[in-house]
Amino acid sequence: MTHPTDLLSAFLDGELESADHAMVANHLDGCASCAVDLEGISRVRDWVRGLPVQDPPIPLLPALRAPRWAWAAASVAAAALAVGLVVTPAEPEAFDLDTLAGQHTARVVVSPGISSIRGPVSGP
Amino acid sequence: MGRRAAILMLTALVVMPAAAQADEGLEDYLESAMDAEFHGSGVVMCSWGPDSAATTYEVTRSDGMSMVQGPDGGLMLYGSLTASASGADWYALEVSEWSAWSLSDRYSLGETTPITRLGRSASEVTVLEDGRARARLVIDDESTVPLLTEVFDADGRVFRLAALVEFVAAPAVDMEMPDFMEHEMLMAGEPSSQLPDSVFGYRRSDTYALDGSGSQTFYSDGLFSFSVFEVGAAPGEFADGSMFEVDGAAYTRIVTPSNVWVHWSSSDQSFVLVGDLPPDHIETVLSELPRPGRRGVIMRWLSRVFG
Repeated sequence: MTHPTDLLSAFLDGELESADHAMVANHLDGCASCAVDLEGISRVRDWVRGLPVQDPPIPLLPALRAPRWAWAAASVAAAALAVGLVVTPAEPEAFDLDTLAGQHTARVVVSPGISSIRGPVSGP
Repeated sequence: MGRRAAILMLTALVVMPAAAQADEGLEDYLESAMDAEFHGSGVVMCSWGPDSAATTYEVTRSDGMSMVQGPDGGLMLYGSLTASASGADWYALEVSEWSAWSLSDRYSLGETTPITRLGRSASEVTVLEDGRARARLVIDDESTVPLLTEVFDADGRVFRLAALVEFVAAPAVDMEMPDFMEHEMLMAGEPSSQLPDSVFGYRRSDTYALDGSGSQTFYSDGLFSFSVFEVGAAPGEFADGSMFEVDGAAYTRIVTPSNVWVHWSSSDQSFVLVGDLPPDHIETVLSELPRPGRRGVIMRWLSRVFG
């Protein structure tokens, strides 16, 4: 039996397409192991969401007083950092089609093939 | 290969029974036609479903050097060096190393018929893929240059057509490479762990590191070829691409005269495939490469928690 382990989180979020949702639901009906996994994912998620909203511990300078939501976000971020969950992806490198076309053409033309025998065409 | 040898080879293609040494004949032809010297101008067009594109181009090949001029700019080729023009400036890109070429045994030469094209003696050759017509070439007998190439899709429709409308064999021209503003090397990189060594008969030939981040993996079956780029973000041009599905997964494509481009994202990785392979090959290849994926569990949680 193949367990849809990697789909459980999306199932819980309601992000699966209907066919996948039905497949996971059917599987959960007959698979105690996956049902336990699903419950575990749900419990951990509830725990993260249930982290207390913190008030500022002491009155700070009025100019530095942040709104409550900011402290809540900072608390959650600190908790997430503590368990190593925060990932800060680097800004992805952006390439344009011209650059990639140049790279591809440079390789195509050194070997025989249908494009190289008729002459490559410039541009993407 | 000299012209006499090329003529003998082509003559052999015409008179020999197709089944005898068909694969070897096609292999020899593809290798020799790369070096054929000619000048020509023509049109190349590509059509996949409702998407199509066409352009004109002019090509001159002499003394091992080629110059291709199209509406989008010019290319100069010499050995492993490709120079492209941007305005008045030229930029060179040189391939540092590449794997030996080989032709897949699924291709063979079919029927060959003598015809006349552009007032010249030529041969019409069918390239078969597992016994079905995949391409039709009209080859100039003297120079071995393809005056016409048609590539068919799985239903036998023309997917790409390149036709010369003006042709001169062995032109007497002097060409020299321009001065380059920049000269970059395409350096070999580590093979991607996400991409297979072979996919639907296409062999992973080489991997190159992209300037910045990312990689280019080059696949070829000897007749068609494609590169898979692993990049952080999709090129902006795909915003205007067409959506299509393979086995229920969504991809975006752009059709240009000489290539088809496909973009998809798997988890936090973007892939761009570009090549001259026909649509049915592309769809099978895509089904065997990393699929468009959902976000990972951690990214999903972070998204839910932080918005």
